Amino acid sequence: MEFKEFNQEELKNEEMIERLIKEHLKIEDPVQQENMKKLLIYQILH
Amino acid sequence: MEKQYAEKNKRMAIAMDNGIPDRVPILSIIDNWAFSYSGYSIDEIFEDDEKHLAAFDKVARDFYWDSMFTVTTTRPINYISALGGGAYKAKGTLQIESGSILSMDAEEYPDLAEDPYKFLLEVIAPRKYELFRKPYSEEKYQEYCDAVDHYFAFRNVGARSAQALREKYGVPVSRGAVFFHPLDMILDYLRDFQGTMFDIKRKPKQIREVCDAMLPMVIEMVEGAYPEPVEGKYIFNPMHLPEFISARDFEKVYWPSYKKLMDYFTDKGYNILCYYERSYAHLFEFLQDLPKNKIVGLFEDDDLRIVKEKLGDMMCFAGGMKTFDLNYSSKQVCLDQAKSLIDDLAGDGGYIFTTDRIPHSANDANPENLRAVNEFVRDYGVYK
Repeated sequence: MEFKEFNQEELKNEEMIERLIKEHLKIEDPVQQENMKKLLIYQILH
Repeated sequence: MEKQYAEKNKRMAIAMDNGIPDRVPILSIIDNWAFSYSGYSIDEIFEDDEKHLAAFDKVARDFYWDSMFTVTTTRPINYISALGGGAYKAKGTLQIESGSILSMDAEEYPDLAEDPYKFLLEVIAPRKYELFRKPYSEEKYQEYCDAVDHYFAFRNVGARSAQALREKYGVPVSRGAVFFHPLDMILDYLRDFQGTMFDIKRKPKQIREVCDAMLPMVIEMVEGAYPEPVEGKYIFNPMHLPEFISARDFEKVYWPSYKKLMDYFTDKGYNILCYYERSYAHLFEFLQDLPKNKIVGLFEDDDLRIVKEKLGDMMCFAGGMKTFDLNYSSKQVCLDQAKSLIDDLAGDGGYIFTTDRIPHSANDANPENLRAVNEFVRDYGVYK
């Protein structure tokens, strides 16, 4: 099966998640930020 | 209620360690059946958290339980819908949308193995969800904030539900966290059934390697949700693939990483409830090598009397009460079945009474029969 290629620079999904963690969830601790980032990426699996 | 809560937790904890508690614990594995029983559609409960809470409140109030394995439904549908994609849809009940799983090519295993989080974020997310495909904008960011708010609102319903049932009925929630074996993740979310089955035959070494590479992710997700073992609780591990593969393939692609996970968590003191979906008779020899007395085996189609003979000295097991009979047979047939389960299985402890499969649909149990068997086991299943 062919999957479309995406330009990561256009999508900026990683930056979006990092921004959400800092600005929306207001998590300041870097360890907690990293844990939350992993959790939100894992939550792609639905 | 705190005394009841502590007693029930203790009962579950002793049984899960394959011991003899004061009486046979009765575990609810009810999922979406709670909604039909309470008169709500699946759409209604996702529109109104109070209905979601009320449904499981009614299940806790109307039936006897020593523990409940969940007090919400399992998928954050509002979050998934807000992302615009995913495999699960609410269509009367939670269902997998046909053709929605396949999102990874067979040649991409090395990329997944190299960095699972990066691969999910950069490769899988835009394939699965409309939101992750959009070019970045302020609008996209706000949409993602809204989606994540739905995710945490869903988790909050679970926390509220557990607290309310503890305070009102003294009923514990026994599920501390959930994990899927890496190959079940690949089956359920990435390669779908046909792709996974082909890959197992064509590239077993790659599958085995990618499963090992995904173990840290599995462990991080469990420990993030449930950092320390708690009495009466377990890690829930539903298993999907093994029923479909031979013992030879199981040994090659599934067992090595499964054993590592079981060893890792039990060494840290966790109990694990493995939901052995459908039949595992062809794999009993492997299960005999699992860590002793920390695993609960919830069996669907296997004869529990054979399970007891083969595995009873090393794991607690659960199940047996047939949802088919709970719905379609008379109360007396159900009571006779419950008595037979207690007589044949519970004698030396390590048995948890529950249904043979998760009640999802309205026709998975007649409430009167369910109430009767639970009350019967509560009174009859006493160790003397």
